[in-house]
Amino acid sequence: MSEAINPNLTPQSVPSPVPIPAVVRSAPTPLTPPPAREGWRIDLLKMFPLLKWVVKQRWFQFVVILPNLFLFLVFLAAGIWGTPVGNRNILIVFVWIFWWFLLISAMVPFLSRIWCTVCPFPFFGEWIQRGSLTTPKMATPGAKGTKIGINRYFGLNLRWPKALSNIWMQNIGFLGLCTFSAFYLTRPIVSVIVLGSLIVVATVLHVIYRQRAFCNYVCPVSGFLSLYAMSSMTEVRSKDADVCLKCHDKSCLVGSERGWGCPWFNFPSKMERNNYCGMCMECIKSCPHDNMTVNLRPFAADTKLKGYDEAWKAFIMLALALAYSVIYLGPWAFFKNLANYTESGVGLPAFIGYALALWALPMVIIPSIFSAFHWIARKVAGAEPKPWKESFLLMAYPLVPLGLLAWIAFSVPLIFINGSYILVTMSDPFGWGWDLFHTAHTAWSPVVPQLMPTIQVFIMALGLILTLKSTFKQAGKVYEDAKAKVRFAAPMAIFYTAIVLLFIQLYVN
Amino acid sequence: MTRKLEELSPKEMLALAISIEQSNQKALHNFSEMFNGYDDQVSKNFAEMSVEEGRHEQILLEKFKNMFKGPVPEISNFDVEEVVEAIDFDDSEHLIFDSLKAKQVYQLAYEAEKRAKSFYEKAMKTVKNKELAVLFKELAAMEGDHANWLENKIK
Amino acid sequence: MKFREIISSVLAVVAVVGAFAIPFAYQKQRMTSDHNVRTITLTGLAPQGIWTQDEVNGGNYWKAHFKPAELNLKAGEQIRLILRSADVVHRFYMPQLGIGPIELVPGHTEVVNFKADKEGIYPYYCTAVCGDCHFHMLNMRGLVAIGKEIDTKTAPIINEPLCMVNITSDLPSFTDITQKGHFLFQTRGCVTCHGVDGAGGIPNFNYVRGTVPALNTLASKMSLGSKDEVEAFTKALEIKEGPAKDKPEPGLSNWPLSFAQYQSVVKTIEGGSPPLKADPNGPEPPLFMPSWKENLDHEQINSIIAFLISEQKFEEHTGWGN
Repeated sequence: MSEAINPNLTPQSVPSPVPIPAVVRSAPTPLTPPPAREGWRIDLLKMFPLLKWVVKQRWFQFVVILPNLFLFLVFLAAGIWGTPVGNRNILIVFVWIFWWFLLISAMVPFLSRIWCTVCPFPFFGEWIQRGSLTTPKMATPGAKGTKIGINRYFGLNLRWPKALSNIWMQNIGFLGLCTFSAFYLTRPIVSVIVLGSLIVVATVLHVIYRQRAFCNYVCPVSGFLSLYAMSSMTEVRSKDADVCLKCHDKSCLVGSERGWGCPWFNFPSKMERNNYCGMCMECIKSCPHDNMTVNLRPFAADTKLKGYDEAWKAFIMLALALAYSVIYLGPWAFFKNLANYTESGVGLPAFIGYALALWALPMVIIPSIFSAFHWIARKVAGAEPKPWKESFLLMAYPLVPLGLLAWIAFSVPLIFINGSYILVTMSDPFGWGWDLFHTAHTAWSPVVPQLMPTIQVFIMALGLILTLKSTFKQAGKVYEDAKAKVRFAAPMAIFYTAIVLLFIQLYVN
Repeated sequence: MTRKLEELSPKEMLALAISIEQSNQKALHNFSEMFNGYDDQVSKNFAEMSVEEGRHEQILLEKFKNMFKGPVPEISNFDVEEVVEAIDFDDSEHLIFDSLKAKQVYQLAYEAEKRAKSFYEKAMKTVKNKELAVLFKELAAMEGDHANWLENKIK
Repeated sequence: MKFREIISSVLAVVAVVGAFAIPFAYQKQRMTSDHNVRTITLTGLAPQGIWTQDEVNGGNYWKAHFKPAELNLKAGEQIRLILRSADVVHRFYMPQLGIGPIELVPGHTEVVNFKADKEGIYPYYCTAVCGDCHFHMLNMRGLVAIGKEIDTKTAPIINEPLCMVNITSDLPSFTDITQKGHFLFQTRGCVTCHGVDGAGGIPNFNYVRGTVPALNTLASKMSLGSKDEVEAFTKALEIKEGPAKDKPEPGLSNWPLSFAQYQSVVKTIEGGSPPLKADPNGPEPPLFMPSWKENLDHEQINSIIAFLISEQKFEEHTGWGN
């Protein structure tokens, strides 16, 4: 295994020029040295040359989006013209059960934002914006369109408003969508409206704003993908920092005739987190030095939250995992009825109460409790602390692996209990009596329902181990002194343990 | 096959310095293009610096003409181990979160120039070839001038 | 490069158009494989309590008002009947033509092929108590006419509110127990089988008595021989706890018998009763007395009994409360 690790990527082995160190990399503020990458890396493109050939092809992203787009549109058609029965309509079953499970349990933990590679939402917008599906357009003199970097684009290509250059919109959007979850989880037409409007909004925003503004700032799915991709075991990164420094083309940012400049507004050569990398593989194509690659890496290797918007995203995701576990997995019909008020007849005021509680939990309650523990931790640690915001963000990070594992624990029963619906709907997507794969008459049969709590507890226990490990590691970034570090980490560890115990309590009962 | 800086002849050394200025000029121009229509002040500052690097290149070319005969040898910063002078962002998310201030652009370049200066100064002391040492000294002085120019911009 | 771009653009357009066109084309091809067969789709709808031939899908289910099915078949036609449920489990039953009962799981499709060679007008039913409006389906709305026109006289449509009202919020308050019973009789579905004012007469195929029993003679079955006796028993029904064996109501000639009969009626309403077959080898009669325990409380059952005994016509009086 160790032979496969690219020796160039371990921090120690970055060639150090003798006798004088490389000048820029060792720069003090404001130029920070490239972050030492924690743990091992395996260069997947080096290991699998065929994969490298594929992602380097201009048609790569188009070819993977196309079937996905086709299926997605078939699902939308099924949502409109197929059966109104939720668990028999492929739109509901594939999007909210199958896709969600795949996304949270497989794609995000192992393949980062690979969903964004194949996502059909921005397809039309990007097509209009680029005026091309597979070929990068160059800003040659006299060519129509807007010049960005050295590529040219169509549409207005306005700059995304400064005040909205954060992920708060995604936070609010996701919370908003989740408030009404019971509406689209049971009614295909509501799902069509929600998903269809995402395509429409994506297209409109692509026409108005530059590149993937929709994905970076608006798409509610992108918001949590960005957060949890930090934990992912895959990353797109530069291979050798020196090569990037010496590079005068900066094609990964500005584009070239081989590839578009990073549509996600990243500067890929300096990328140190997965958050905003949509894995479109353009930088791998555009790099003139073949210096970008896809690495395999340890779980939870990106550990830096950069702002309160990202920290709140973590609070929101954790709170929703908790709330959904209560609403959809718990035995309390009361909560289910509140969420689905139009059918349960609990009345609008009760639903408003539910919505307020659902918003207060991640926006106010959990952050307040977290802040209280953080405040106590700083007091207990004693030593001169780092500024509040810095240590707050460092200590909020363990919410990322914890939240991801909590979502996986929530989603596993979804697939094990309702998996048979997937077989049924794939054979008869519209409920029109088809039997494409001879599975249309599969009876509803939950898979090992009796093992669910055990599996969930196991996942949460794994989550606790990862969270505590990361809590102590992060505490070390706040306090160098070993004693202060432990004193500082202890209250935070209690906070995280309590959360995990709460989840376990829910799943066991 | 990359070489150590000390192994270069004075002629190659000067050619490398020219190439680095050219390379920076292009990178800065590209950054400017990237910020064009996004943050015009940042774009303008990059453009201005790109022009300034072009001016350095001219000065070095002039020097080359005076010192050596024939065409400038083809040698670039990829041919040597060290990174002598390179201007780069300090993180990848400036465009996402709009966190690059116009003044920071000068700051980035200033740091690069300052370190280039100290690099030439150290090299000047360690190098055995006398002619090269003289050249390093001149280059160090020139980088110092650039750093001063940028320092004034930052103020 | 230009070639690749053209190919990709074509593929993209094909994907978009194909996503909508292919499913419909495939469905059309499946449905029109045999031109001699007439395809009829019936979808069971719980909220409206009807079978409809309208297209019911994810897009219109939540808002549209669907038209009850009108099945006029030509004699000798070969029919492919596609049966669906749009919401809950329905059970399709057309006993005279030997079709069903077929369980219709929501979202699934069942297909029945038959030849409409038996002239006549035949009812079809949902025999699963499928929702608040199920009793729409039990009445005569579902009729198939083969080689004839449906005659409204033989197929009376009951214009009564046949969907059960929400017990907690929608039940109006009544001062008169008989009026309350009348309201419940009409709104809980009793009326659909037992007929307007409990007059009975609704045909029930292969049921030993042929039609659903009338209930407007309940008073005499309970040994209540006059209007006064009915009034006296109604008083006992008005008590919150209801009639009790050891608390005979004054003015009744045979309290023990009346009380025993009352108890048996309550038992039938609460527990339901299966219909006896006329031909033991024939199909199950579609209509049966379901259990009402979950939908009616004791007081409500008493008010219905009060209404039904008030419907009795005595020789010296015409019935009151009607």
